[in-house]
Amino acid sequence: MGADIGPDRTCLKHSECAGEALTKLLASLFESDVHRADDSGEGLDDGSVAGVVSLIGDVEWSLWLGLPRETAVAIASAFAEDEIEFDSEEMGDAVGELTNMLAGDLKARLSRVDLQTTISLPSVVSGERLRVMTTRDTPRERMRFSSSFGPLWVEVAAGVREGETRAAGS
Amino acid sequence: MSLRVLVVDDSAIMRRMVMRKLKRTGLGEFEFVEAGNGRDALEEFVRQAFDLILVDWNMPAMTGIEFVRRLREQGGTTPPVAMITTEKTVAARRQAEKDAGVQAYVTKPFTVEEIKASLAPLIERLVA
Repeated sequence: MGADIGPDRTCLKHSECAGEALTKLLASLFESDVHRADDSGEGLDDGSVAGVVSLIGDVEWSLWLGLPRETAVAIASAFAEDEIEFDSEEMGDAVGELTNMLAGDLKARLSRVDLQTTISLPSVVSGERLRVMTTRDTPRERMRFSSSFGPLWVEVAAGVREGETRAAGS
Repeated sequence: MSLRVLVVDDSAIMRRMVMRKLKRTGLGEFEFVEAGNGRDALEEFVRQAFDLILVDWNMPAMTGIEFVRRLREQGGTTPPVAMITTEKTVAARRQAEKDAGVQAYVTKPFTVEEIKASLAPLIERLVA
């Protein structure tokens, strides 16, 4: 058997920008410090609400923002300056907006390294112990953080290498 | 003098944030009307007069810039329009939007000071 080379991760070259964007977003919205947390532990995810948005152009990324229940309630309530319940439509609204802002900052960072992208509308999923499932060969980078609101994570999953475009019909 | 402001954003939370922070700027007294999409906003515009319109750029069905273009197509006097966007300046796009009638930008996320700085020139002209 040959060595398992694994997926080509060159398309994730700038994925650390996502973590930088999250740090800046929470600092500017809430003056909240965010710290990188232990990245170990694949397996079932602990996020209960997650926003996802695509950045398409010179990169082809899916960007996820994952919030466990308690973190989600705390952040959404701080964002709205009002109590937001976990199972409310407003939770989806808040997480969608936060994901949108995160993507906007990430887009700006990528453009500074000459990578131009367009952002999709965000979607939000919620449930107990969400699991982000991609094909095995999809390069992914998950970054876990701790904050004054609780733990949270961002993930970038990449479709194609930077500078390449997907062939029509593929 | 109270300024009537139409706030257009598919996110109810963002509409409330815009209204809350604009009130806190101290730029004046405001009376707000909300619309969750461009179509409803155009209907509101036909029903009543507004002094200022704040519209989100990234909305489903009708984007903010499409709304601005349709607003202008209706003819007559239209109030100043400020675009709320997460995206930082893209010069070519901004020029096209200014040509379409966008007169100011508010970039999310924004503080009270930032929305004040973005909208003060427009609002001061309105109350003068």
